[in-house]
Amino acid sequence: MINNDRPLSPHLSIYRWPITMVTSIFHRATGLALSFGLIVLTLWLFDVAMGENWYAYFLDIMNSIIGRIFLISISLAFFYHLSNGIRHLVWDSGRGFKKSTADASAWLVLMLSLIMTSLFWLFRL
Amino acid sequence: MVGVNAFFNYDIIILVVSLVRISISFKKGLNIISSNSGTAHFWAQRLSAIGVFFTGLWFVYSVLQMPGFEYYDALEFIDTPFNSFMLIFLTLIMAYHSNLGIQVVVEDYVHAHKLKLVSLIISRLSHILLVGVAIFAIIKIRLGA
Repeated sequence: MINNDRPLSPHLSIYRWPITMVTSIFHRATGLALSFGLIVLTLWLFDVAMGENWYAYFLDIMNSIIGRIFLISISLAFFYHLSNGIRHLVWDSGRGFKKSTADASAWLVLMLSLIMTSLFWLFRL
Repeated sequence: MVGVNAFFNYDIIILVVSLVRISISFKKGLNIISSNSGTAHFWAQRLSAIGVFFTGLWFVYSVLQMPGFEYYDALEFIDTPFNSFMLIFLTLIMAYHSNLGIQVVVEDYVHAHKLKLVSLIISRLSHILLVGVAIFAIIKIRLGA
């Protein structure tokens, strides 16, 4: 008789995501977010071109809470995608595939993107 | 798979060759054409990534240098020969890189043939529109907004 209480592979209830999996998913998610960010960047250019009234509206949105959350998120996404992108380029050269190395670089990228985002906003404020 | 990728090759020669091969395969009633664009996509993504890296860092540096973000701050920043050139290059290279990335996401998650084709076309047209708007805006600013 099969004991149905035993957890099934891949043991979803106790499964812990490998950190390399987290960074991989983040890379795609931040990439999509940055595509949206490019729309906002284009809107910024467009609103400057259209004159002061349009730009005032843009500035109002960016100065609101939602705008601030967006700007901070998009800067974090940018610095994350940037540092993890470099990690991907290193991988493309055939280096850094050892499990311990990949885990370490994953943590490094997460730390770096947080540090760079904090520094950016510190210098900007 | 015949059809989808032929429209998203990066090289007009590859595109023409693919179309010829597809028409031949249709006549034979075969479904033998692979995309032929995997390697081109790989290199396009990596090379554009390097472009995004440098323009992105330039933009971060520029934003840190800007005195503020009021209307005239923004206008003054964009309205210089170097900055306007860099902004056009930035939007071009970033939209290109974004298009390649979204193409991969669509190909990974959208399996219905027609929906995939339509999604890829919409994505590409949106990116072209985005670049068009950005370049229009920058030129308009340069000519005196």
